[in-house]
Amino acid sequence: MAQNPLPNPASDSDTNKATITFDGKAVSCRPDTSLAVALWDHGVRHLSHSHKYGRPRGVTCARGHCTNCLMRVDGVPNVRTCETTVLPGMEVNTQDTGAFYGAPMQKLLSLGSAWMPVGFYYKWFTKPASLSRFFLDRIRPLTGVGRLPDAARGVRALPAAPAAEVTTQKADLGRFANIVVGAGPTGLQAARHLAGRTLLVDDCAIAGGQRLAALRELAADRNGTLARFPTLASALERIESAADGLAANSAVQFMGAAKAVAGYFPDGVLVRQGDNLMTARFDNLVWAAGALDTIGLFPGNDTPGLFGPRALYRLLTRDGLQVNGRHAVLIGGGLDFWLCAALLASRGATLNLVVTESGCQSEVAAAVDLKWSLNTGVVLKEIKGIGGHKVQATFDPHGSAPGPTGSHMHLEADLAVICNTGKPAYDIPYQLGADLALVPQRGGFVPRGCQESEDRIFKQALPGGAEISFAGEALGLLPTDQVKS
Amino acid sequence: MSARSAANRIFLCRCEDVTLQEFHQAYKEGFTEMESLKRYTGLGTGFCQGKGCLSEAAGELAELRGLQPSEIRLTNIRPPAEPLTFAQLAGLDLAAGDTDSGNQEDGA
Repeated sequence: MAQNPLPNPASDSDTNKATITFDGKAVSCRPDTSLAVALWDHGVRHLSHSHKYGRPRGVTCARGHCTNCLMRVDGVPNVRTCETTVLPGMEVNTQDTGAFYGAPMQKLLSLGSAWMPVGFYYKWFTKPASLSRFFLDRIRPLTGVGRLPDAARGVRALPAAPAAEVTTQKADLGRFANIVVGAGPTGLQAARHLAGRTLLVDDCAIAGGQRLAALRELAADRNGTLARFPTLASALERIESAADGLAANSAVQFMGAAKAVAGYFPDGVLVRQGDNLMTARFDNLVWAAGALDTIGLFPGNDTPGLFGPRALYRLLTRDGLQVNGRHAVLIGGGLDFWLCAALLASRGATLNLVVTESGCQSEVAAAVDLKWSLNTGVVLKEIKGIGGHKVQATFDPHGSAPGPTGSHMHLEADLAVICNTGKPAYDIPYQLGADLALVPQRGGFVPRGCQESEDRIFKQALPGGAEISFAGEALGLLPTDQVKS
Repeated sequence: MSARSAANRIFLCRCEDVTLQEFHQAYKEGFTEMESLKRYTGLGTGFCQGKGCLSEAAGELAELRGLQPSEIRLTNIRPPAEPLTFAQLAGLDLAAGDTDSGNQEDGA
């Protein structure tokens, strides 16, 4: 299935509807959004069920990383619906066991899974070894795993891969002195000062990244919310000036809506733009890919409707997720917390803020001024999906602040956003052979030894002789920190 | 496991449905390295290839073993970093020997 780059941002073309078929029913939706968001706006939040415990799952990362939004589109299985643009006439089907046995059986399986002992799935049916083939052949298919649609069920079989999808043009971008992955403020500033032919790659269509798209939308909002939050206003100014500075360096080639998708050679990466996959070589790789959302470990951390800030930016600014009149719970602190809050409020959502960090008095004052509902001094205990496509967050009162309902405080919402410090993106550097270590103070895997240095850019030699430089959030720094060249 | 504790499942790896309880159970059974834990529980072998869970799991393991987090050895992570189609890969123009990168140390 083609993964088209998504239009940016969604316009109000409500008159211009596309009709798709979802599990046999016609659904009318906006054509300029991703399938996952079109279905969300239509009231479909559960896009799949997890294959072991049958847990309902919905769009989570919104960047094609996770399993939660996979569906069968026009007969092709495992299509990432969060990255697939709606086209009129698309035939979309859920692809988990429910698709084979129907909803009642799915429900029964989910109930049964509650009594599965820990380790059931990887311990049972493995002994004796002589019978494992029998188990694999007979018992596994009973769950529906590995089955593809057939004509008898009225679903089209897998089409042959169209020959046109094979990429033959411009498959090699050539060699660059520098490849900068990530065109957020960090990547932009790095690219501005680098010498030699430089390639700048970002999965956002605009130079500046997803926060810039969110900040620009907020700046265009007539209510003047941005002016009430000095940290957001200065972030906008900083990223805009970094984006402007890019024009000053003519040696930089910017590729938007493109992703570095593999560290495949000692001195090269694979870059995907739409359906085109290309090789690109480097002498120096600047890894400014930012961070991934950290949801955290708590009961119900897989509940649909639970997002990190980065996913929310993409859902709102790229796909135009409709939140008007919805209730949102935001938990956390920092730049992303206030940016998400302001963005959701400007889109007409009702907010319930749970601030877990201290030292943000000016933001709290602004939120009080805006009559946003605020809670402080509580600890997140659990999030779960409840009826009516709602999530319920439960908090324990902490310290002296008592919860409104006795020992616990429950907040109900259509979506919950957890704004923790992100974890540095690390996969491609690691594939290239970088020496990484887990440093909790930096949020995740970062180059070994970087925590002992104050440097904003940390260099390492790769086994193939090329060099890699980590910077910004990918080095575990906060988004408010600035690269100094 | 009772229905009550099932409601309290904490998901470490969402792709392969590995809970924190399963991870701890596997550790108790003697799997004390990230690589063997990955193979036993399926953690980090799903669609996201560990983007969602490896740093969390490594942090848990450091705590269980009483080690510094930086002492935990990572599992191997091989390219690509996101699923690609064979059609896309077939379109690449690769030279001979263009198939290897650095992260192959123990041949696992």
